[in-house]
Amino acid sequence: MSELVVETRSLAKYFAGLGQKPVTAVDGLNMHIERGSIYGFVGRNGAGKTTTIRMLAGLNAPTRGSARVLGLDPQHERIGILERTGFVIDRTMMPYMTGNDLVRFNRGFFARWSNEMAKRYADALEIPMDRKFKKLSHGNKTKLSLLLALAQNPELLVLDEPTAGLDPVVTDQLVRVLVEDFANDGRTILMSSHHLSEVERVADWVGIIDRGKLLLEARLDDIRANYRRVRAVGERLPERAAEIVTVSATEGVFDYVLSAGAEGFAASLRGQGATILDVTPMNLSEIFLQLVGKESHVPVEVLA
Amino acid sequence: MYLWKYWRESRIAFGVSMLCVVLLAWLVFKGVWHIDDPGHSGRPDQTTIAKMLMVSLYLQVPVSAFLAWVMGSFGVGRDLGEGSGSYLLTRPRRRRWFLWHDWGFGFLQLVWTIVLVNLLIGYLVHRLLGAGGNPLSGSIMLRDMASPVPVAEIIGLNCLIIVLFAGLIFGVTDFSTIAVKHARGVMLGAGIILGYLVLGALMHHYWPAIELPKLVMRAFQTSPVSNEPVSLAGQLGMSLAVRAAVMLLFPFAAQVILERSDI
Repeated sequence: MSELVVETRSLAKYFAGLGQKPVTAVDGLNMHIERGSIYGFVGRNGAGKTTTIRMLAGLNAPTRGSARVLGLDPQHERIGILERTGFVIDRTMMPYMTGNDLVRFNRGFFARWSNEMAKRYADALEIPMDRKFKKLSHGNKTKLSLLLALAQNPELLVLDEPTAGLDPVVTDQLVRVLVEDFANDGRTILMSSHHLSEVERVADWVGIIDRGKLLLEARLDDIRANYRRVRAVGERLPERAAEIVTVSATEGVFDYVLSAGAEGFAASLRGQGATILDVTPMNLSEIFLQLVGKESHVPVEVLA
Repeated sequence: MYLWKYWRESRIAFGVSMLCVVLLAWLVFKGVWHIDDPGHSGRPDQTTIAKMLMVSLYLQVPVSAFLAWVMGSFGVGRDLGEGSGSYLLTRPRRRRWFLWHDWGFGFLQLVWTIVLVNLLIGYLVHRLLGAGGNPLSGSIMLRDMASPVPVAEIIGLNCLIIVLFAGLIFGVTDFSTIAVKHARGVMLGAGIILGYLVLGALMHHYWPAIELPKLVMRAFQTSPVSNEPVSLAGQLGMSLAVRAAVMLLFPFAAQVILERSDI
């Protein structure tokens, strides 16, 4: 089994105000990220992605459950994690500092800091390093945040919605840097997003979170090769089986999402008198909609 | 490098305070050159000089309180409010490391300003006494003392009293910004101090037997406006130690809050 860089066990976080009912942000999350993978952590706004990342960074304490990052506990061994992990969470820094100031400010914190890398990324990403942070565009703020995380030369990069609000050119620049430069060295990326197309482009693992629960965690290749949608008409068809990810039934039509063995499953349904309407491969967006969007309207942005 | 960040944020307040010190120095030096003029009306007596030292202590109270209040707003609580808290606190240092660096550097700036002001006051007293030797030499006779008290000791005492008072205001403000997670915590800090003063006044009015400790330690038993000779209060060492402990209570309380709170 591959080494896990991030692992959570029944991780949960509730927020409670005075006299208010607790709000569940993360609810029993079991997440596994292998070394060297690019893990796309997808979910709708408010699904619990940012809270999970904040717990991994030691910024928020879990209400229950546990997490390990690089084998360390974020609550008690934060420093060890932060020395080896680049976190890009809120892209807000000291507003009066320029990019160059921020590079100078950061390098004192990290033993493996690389000035050469900072310079290279500043050039490659075309960041105006002599401009104050508050005067930078949203895209440049994001690029600068990424530059600072990359130049600390981390083993693990954790990015919360890195491309939110960016134009396609900037998105492409960031993705190239992440995939071609960083991940090619065998390092690990955890990237939260609700842009499924972008995750599908770069990730090799995907975790789908909704209402604080991890609904699916799988290799993207496995999803492409094995995940199928099977629609069948019949009566008293099975709703539980190892390969069933989700099932819904409307007016006698059963809609299955299967993680493997679709043809065999369809054959067994036929054996039970069902008529198979179709067996179709699924992409990430379809699986996401099937898992997350089945009970409510899903905004168009998730399909972007 | 982290201290440079605090410096970047506080340098205007510190610069203004240094300008005020320079202005005070100009006034002191402009004045002292005329002390020995033939047409001068003569030096004040020792009682007047002792009163001057008392007055100088009380004059420093509002100014140092304001400076400490402003400086207290530049801590890590401001970053939490400006949204850069999660960036700052994902640098590989303990949360208390940030807090104590802010507190230490801000406190150092306060101490530096207060010491400079009191050195100037000491020099003025030294010249008024007509003492020779180093700029703080000379001594003043106070009531109930067996021998004259050196100017350097009184200046040192005044300095300590103001440092402890300013440190308390600074600590309360820094604590409030962290508790509120916003620079707006300075208003809470001011509220705590004003609330304490109001509570003291109410207690004095309704329950005169109970007296809350004063925010500024009483070093002298007399007041600047009374005609009594100036005398020192008792148990100064114990008072200073207790006030130092109270002053340090707030950064420690802020540390507990910062280390236990979600960012």
